[in-house]
Amino acid sequence: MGPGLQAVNDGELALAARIADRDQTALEAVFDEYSGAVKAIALRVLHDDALADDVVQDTFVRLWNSPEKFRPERGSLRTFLLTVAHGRAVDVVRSEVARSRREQRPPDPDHYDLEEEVWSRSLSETVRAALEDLAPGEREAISLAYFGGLSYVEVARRLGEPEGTVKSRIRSGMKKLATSLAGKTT
Amino acid sequence: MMAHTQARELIPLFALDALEGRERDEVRSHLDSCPVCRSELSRYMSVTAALTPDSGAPRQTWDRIVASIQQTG
Repeated sequence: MGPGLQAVNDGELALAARIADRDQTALEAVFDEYSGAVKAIALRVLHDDALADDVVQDTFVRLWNSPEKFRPERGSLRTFLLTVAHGRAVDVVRSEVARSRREQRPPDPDHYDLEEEVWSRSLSETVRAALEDLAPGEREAISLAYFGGLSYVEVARRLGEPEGTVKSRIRSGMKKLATSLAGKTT
Repeated sequence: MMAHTQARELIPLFALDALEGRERDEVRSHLDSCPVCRSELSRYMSVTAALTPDSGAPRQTWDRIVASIQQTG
């Protein structure tokens, strides 16, 4: 970890400490900085504005109620909040009702967001370059899992591929991304 | 109990929330006792966070959050 990231995390640790002291302005500062990304991931998984807003609310209320769950040595506050939000969104999308509705829809293997993200200006050049280096099958499997909220078993079913193949593609793609992005993101 | 090698191979999938059921529970349980895998997980969570673009804050949700935290104290 470089000195820059350490400094960022010290600042974030101080913010978390203020939240633990029930300082609402600290929570608002975190909200202003990161709620856009939190909403973005919730919306990508859920495709429903009201449900995504519920996830945003749950995520920040959880930080307020349990700020000690944020451990700066394990990653940035942005990463922590996105991890919480993604987990909540996946819980919603995998709920029984949502699952049965989703399974009635025809599969849509041609639509996967990372293909769009490669060309999108919303991601940094570094991230886009890392995505371009993935094999199409790796991008597709990672995208269906992350943005579609699907388990690897569901991804395999959706693509008509063996589970082991999908598992391997996700693993190799994630390893490549981790290597490409090491030290370049927080 | 899941072996370290087996759990470590599943960490990238765990970081994507792509595991379910017993497999997910076993990785979670392994993480509680394995600092190496926890460190690996942090690395992959930074990857997934990097895939998410920033956008404008949904200010309308802030009022709901304030109402909720004031209700619970």
